[in-house]
Amino acid sequence: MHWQYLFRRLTLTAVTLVLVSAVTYSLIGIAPGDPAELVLQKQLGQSPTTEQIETFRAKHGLDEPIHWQYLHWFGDLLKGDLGQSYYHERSVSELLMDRLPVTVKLAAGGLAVSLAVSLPTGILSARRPQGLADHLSQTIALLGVAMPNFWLGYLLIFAFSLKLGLTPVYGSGTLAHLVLPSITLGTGLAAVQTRLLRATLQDTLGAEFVTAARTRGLREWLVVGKHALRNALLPLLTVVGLQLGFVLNGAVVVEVVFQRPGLGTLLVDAIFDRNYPVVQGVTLLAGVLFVSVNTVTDLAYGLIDPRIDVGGDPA
Amino acid sequence: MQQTLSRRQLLGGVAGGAVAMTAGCQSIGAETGGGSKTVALSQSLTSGDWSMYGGAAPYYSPMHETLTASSHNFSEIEPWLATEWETVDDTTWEFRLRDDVTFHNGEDFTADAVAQSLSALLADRPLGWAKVTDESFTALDDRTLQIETVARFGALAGTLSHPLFGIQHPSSYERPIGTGPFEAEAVDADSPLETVRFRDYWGDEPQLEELTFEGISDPTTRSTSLQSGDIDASFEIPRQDYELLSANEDIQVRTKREPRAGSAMVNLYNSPTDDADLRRALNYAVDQQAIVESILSGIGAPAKGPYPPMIPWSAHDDLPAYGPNLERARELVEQSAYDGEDVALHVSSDTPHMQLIATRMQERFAEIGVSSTVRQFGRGSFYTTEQKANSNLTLIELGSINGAADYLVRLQFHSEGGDNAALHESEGTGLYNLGPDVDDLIETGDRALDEETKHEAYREVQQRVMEEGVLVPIYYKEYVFGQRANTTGPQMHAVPHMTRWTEFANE
Repeated sequence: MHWQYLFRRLTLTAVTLVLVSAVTYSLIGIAPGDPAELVLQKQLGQSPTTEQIETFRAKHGLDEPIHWQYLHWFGDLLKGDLGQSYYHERSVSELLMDRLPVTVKLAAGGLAVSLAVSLPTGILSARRPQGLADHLSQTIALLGVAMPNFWLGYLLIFAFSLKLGLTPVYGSGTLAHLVLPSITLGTGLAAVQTRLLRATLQDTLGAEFVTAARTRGLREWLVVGKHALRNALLPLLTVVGLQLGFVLNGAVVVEVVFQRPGLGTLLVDAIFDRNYPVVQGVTLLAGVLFVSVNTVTDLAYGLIDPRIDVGGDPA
Repeated sequence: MQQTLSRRQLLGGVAGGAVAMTAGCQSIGAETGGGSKTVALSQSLTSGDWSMYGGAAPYYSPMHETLTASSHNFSEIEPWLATEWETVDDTTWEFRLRDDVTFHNGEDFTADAVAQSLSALLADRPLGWAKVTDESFTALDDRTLQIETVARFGALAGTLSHPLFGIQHPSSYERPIGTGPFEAEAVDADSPLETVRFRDYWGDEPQLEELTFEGISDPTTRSTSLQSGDIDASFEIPRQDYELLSANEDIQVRTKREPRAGSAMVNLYNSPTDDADLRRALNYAVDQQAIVESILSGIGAPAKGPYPPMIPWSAHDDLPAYGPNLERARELVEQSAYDGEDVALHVSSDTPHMQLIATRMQERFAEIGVSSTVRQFGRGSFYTTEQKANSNLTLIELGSINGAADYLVRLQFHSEGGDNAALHESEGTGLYNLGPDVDDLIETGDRALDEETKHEAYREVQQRVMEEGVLVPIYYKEYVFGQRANTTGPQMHAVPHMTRWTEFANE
């Protein structure tokens, strides 16, 4: 790994995050709906007066042009201040710190489930194309992609919570609370991973070095597990990295169905409530997570395949 | 390793020890019950800006109590922390307070504490509809509270039963300290609200030892959690689950009519609904009974006016009957100046049943030759769009969660009411105001200290509103409350927020 490469990536990351925050601020700023009216309506139980709206706007700087609002927000961000939620009387940082662990656990659970499903089924499918396992995995993958998260969540609740009484319906306190949400989230991820692994592993299994390994008399599991799989894992790693970045999307639905107070529900509520500082905070955090995961993924290439020189001269 | 005990653990331990010690003797707790229960609400009580109440919304509060209460059928205002009240002059009221009440922190409940509590509330949260300000409250002595309204206001006693007027001890807003039957054990943001029985409660002692309120936003999850036994009771069970849950012997479901109605507000100044004949035609076209039966699963009642009959001054029985009558509707369309212009129906994405209702109305309008478009908006843009007066019909659900629903009339139909004053102005009237005569009637009702004058003025408003087609009534709301079959109580209240939790118990 080259330090210059890392520096370039970090600089690019910073620029990307600034752009993301500016675009987010602009989009939510031009969206119809006044935060002052929405917040006050909730607080007061009826439409606020013009005076009350003006006071709220002045207090939160909403009476300034949108670009000044953004610059003030950005200035505060450089001082480590993400602002104050309009609704919660809490700082955005506190809210994020409260919600982040819930979403991280869900993402980790979903990823674990997806890999637990995709690795064996992908390998089985690749080894026996058009066999029973392959057809079965294709069907599962199709269902995994096609079935909406919320629907799968309800089905799992019906089966495992209502009928079998094995898991709680909702909540986030214990490991048992994580089982169904992880399966719900992981199934969709697994579907894509399985198909990708099947395709890449099939290619790899036909490669010369695999044939050579077989002719050396290596056992089949060693050929597949050590030689072929290692090469097939690189594309899978790329996809898993991207999927983790997008897990926030799926997490929204899963968090609602299983009543998990994570970042997804925080963001959706903030968007509907026009809670600008919270929208900005979650978006920024999601951006940081997304870029970080992808940077780590890139760096991991070198570990999986030492022939890859991450950040090296392409020539 | 040092280990700290939570209050719940401590109580559990003490209770367990006591039961063990008295085993074989008289059963402890036989009179007062015990145990813990969890109630699901559609939103968390610990999210949002509730600093005045120590971080917990006063809604559904078993912790905070109000000076007055609404009877369970919404028919009258009853004494609660105040035993009696009277008007001294047009704007001055005196409330006599109970003398056997203690706050959760052990301090006496006094008029001075009430005055401080309500003043702080109004300073923090000016509530124009309540006609009081932070300077309205004075303690005349330990037991007498004087309230000065900003104008003559007959609905003051009922207004004070709103959960927002729950009395919080003024010494601290850091934690909820009220006088209610349960006191807060833990108030953490976005977490379930845990309460325990208040031993010195002035009223009937609560049956339960612990009561937890859990916010579960997804209706299906509330329903399944009740079926699985993860929770013991739930408000806002989806209507479509009523039959399913009724057939489940582990669950009991009940419904109760609310002082709340679903309606389509008709923009008087936006073409083509600026034509009174067309507005009446739209009224004739809508089949409320069919909507209630098919879309609301039969839970609720077809509406005839803006307010359900349970509101004491509702004019439900005196209002003109529109139909449904498609033939008459077609005649009125012919009679109107309608030229085929599209009627815009605005609906919020937060209310899926309203989207279905809007679609059903659209079909009916097509049958009378009126074309329409359903436009759906997120809650962030719904009201803004209405304010810009882009709609013709806006589907809303509106009601009261205090004993006096007077503010609804003003809110909806007075030119300075919240839903008019803040909206796009046309001819100085807002969207739903019929002019100065209606304003006068509303003010007469608002000021009246006697019920007869108020009822007559509000009746006249409702009659004119319906005759001019300012509103298409749709349904009077019923809510569904589900609970595990092994629980008893509570008595259902017309306003779900006012449920009294002392009766909720193990069977």
